[in-house]
This record gives sequence, structure tokens and C-alpha cells, in this order.
Amino acid sequence: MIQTFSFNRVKLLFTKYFVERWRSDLRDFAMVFAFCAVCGWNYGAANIGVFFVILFTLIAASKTFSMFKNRAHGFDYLLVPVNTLEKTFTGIVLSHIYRILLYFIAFVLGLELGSFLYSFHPSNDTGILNIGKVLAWIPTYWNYILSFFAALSLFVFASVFFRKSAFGKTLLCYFGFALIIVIVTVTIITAMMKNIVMDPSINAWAFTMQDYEFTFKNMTLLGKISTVGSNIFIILFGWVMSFLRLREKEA
Amino acid sequence: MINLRNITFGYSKKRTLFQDLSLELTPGHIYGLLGKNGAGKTSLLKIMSGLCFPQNGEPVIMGLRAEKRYPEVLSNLYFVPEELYTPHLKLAEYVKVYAPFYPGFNHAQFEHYMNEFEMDNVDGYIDKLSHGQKKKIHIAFALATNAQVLIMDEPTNGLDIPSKTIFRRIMASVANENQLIIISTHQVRDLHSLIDAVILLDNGEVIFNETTDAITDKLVFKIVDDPNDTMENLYQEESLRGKTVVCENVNHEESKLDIELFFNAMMNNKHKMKEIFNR
Repeated sequence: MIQTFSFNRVKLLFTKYFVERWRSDLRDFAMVFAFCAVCGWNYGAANIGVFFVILFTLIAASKTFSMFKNRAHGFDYLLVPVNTLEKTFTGIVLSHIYRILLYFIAFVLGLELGSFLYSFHPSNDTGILNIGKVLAWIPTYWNYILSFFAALSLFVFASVFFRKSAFGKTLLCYFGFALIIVIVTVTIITAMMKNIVMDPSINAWAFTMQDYEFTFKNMTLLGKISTVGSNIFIILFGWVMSFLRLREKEA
Repeated sequence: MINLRNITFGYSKKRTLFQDLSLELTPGHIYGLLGKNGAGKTSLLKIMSGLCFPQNGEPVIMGLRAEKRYPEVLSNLYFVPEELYTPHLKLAEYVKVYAPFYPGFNHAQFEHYMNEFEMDNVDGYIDKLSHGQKKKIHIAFALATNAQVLIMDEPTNGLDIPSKTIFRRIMASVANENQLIIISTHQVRDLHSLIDAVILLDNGEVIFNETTDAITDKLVFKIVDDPNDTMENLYQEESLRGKTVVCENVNHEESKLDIELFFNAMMNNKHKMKEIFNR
């Protein structure tokens, strides 16, 4: 009987991943930790640390199906007795949960160590980093996190789609796609606008369109809705496309 | 167990490798898949195992479509490719990770085959071993999975002469009625006394698919001393002992199959050979 999804096979695939890759993951963890520890002297302005954690995660996501860069490795992976749905699921969990947690923990611990060491410096008046503060960022920046997940799912898709230089090619496609969206949006809005007036109540520009008056307030709301909607669409697109591409992958 | 029906396949639309190819392989045999370089042996093996998708036709394995790569099929199929992937693991780790995917895997058998290959003292990471040593690990692992379908692409490439002998000995001992083994090679001598059926691939066509018994029933392989005796020969080669020839076995003589000679005879005299086997 054909089994669509087996947790036992998924467990075996996770075991395979961790036994094969724990050394390289530990190396990546140490790298992020060391980098963030260096940044930790001034954690208040440690946005550079966040930037690098995001970058590392995206690079790692682009390596999710990196086995296809090597013919023999790709061959081996395709013949592992686990179905495509289970392979995609494992890939998503590893890239979207495991690696983010891995780098985030390295990031927080790195900053903590850096801020602790810097607290001994006489000129330091910021003290040691409060982990609670870092965790408090998460709900505040949920919209950014959603965008990050969208980018992540595209990078996972790219890793199974492109044979070589998945990271660079995905960045190019991403910017190309964003440029097209901007051009199309600006063209549509320009075509729809009757005139642009200053809204005295909120001291901002408002667009009067054919049958609807867009104020700054509802433009912001519209922007949020479209951002959330497009992010959810991109996340689903990345996952579904990864599954379909993996199913059609040949050796 | 493997049924390829009207397969059309090519790596580009302009160049077709197989056109309307059909082939049926049944369990209980060790098939030797022979062909010149570039004949499409590896591609055919990939189609059988679902690693390449035909443009047309149905590749069916164990009653299921090969290209779907069902785990139920893959856990009963083991493919030893020519180009091996060996992860950065120690042997025990490798077995620990890969063996659970194959329900029929037998650890005692694996140890036994490793001993046979004189690989019982493997220490360190297996990706640092020589190509021949890696191949022995993969072959031992493949046999220990007890998979119903065992596919080996050029398994003897990289093996030293004693290891080739051990390989033949092991393969002869593992074959059973429920298992289908396909060995692809261009080094036909390595399959000597190992295979019991021959598939010949030429120009994208299966030009021959018969058992070795059928070959020795229809053909006779012998050495002749008389240099003028060439009338009935389908193929001949000069050797130190005289002339090695392949003739039609009209007198029901018993002879030992020489695969290399048979392969050359088939390549040089296709029509006549086909005619003999179609009688």
C-alpha cells in the first residue's frame, strides 16, 4: 500500500541530515556566534548582527537542496526511500525552523557574551544585554519576519531549481521581480490617479482616484494588506514550487 | 518486475537516445547489460529506477510507475552508480544512517561481505578511502539490503583483480529466485560465469535479450586449429592457441559461453545473429 506521508521516514531523513551535517552546522553556529560576540560590544546598535543572521539564514536556505550541485550526491538523495512530500517537508522544517533557531541562538548568545565582556570596560554604560528585550522584538517585527519567511521559501525553491550559484541567481531574480512589481504598480496608480492633493487633516499627500479617495491612512492599510497577502502568497508559492520541482528532478 | 513499454527518451528533443524501446525483466536472473560506450546503458538504468523520465512510454517497476519514486519501491531497489556519493562519515555512522531505509538490511551479511572484500578494518572517514574501497563498501551495502532489484552500473570499475574475483564469487552466491540483478558494463570479461541473461544495447535499441542457456543452445564457441575453416563462422578472433570462433550450433554441441566473443559477434553480424535466435 502506498503511504502518502510517514513520520517514520521523515524521522529517518532528519537522522540522516543530522548525522551527516552536524559538523558543518556546528561550524556555522560558531561562525555566527563569534561574529555576534564581536558585535556585542555595542548591542544597542547591533543591527549589523541581525543583518548577518538574516544573510546567513538565506545562504543556508539556498543550500537546503544543495546536493543537486553534485551529480553523485543528487543521485543518492533522489534514491533515498522517502517520497517527495516528505523530502520537501524536511527541507522546509530544516530551513524555516531549525536553521533560524540555530542562528538566532548563536546570535543571542554571541551578543550576550560580547555585551558581558564589554560591561567590564570603564566607559560602558549600557550594561549586559537583556535577552527578554531580544525576544520582545519578535512580535513587534512580525511583518518583517513574514517578509523574511517569504524570502526564505524562495531561497529554498531556488536551491532545488538552480544547479549552481543558487544564492546569487535568486538575489538577481528577486530584485528583477521586485523591479517589475514596482514598475507595474506605479504605472497602474499613475493611470488611475486624477490628481494629487495635499490632505490638510493629516498633512500628507492624498490621491484622488476615479471613484475612491485614497487618504494616507487607508493607503497605509492597503499597503499592509497587500504586503501580508503577497508574503503569504510567496511563502506558499516557494513551498509548492519546491515540492513540484523536486518531484520532477532527474539525475 | 521491470517492464519498460515503448520508451522514447533523449537528453534533448533533437537527439533521441531510445525510440519506442520495450524490455521486460523478470526476477531470478542476473542480467548483464552490455553495449558500447555511449550506447545508453546508464540512461536505461536511470529510467528503470525513476531517475530519468522518458518523453513517451511507461517505465514500470514492481507494478508501479518508476518516475514516481515511491518509497515502497525505492526501499526494495538499490542502485550502485558508477560515480559514487560517499558522505563524510565513519563506516558505522554510514550504516546507522542508511540501513534503516531498507527493511531487508542484514548487518551480519554486511559484515560478511566486508570481510570477503578484506575491508573488515576500515577506520576513519569513508570519503577519504580510495575509489575501489568505496566501491566495495557500496557493493557490500547493496547486497546486504536484500533489495528485490539490484542495479549495478560498471561495478567492477576501480576494483583490483583479486577484488573482481571476489565480486564474482559473492554475486554468484547471493542470487535467488526473488531477486532481479542488473549489471551494466563495457568490460564484458568481468561478467564471465556470473550472469545468466544478456541484454545488448546498440544505437538506442535492445538488439538482444536472452538467457545464457539460449545463447549456448544456439551458438557454439570453440577454438579451431585449421586456418582455412572459416565457412560457418559468425565471428572469429586470432589467438595464441589458434582461432577462437563463434558458429551456429547446428550439431547441438556443448560449449562455454565467451561473452566478449559473443558481444563482438553480435556487433559485427547483427542480422545473421538475430535470424538465428528468431528461428
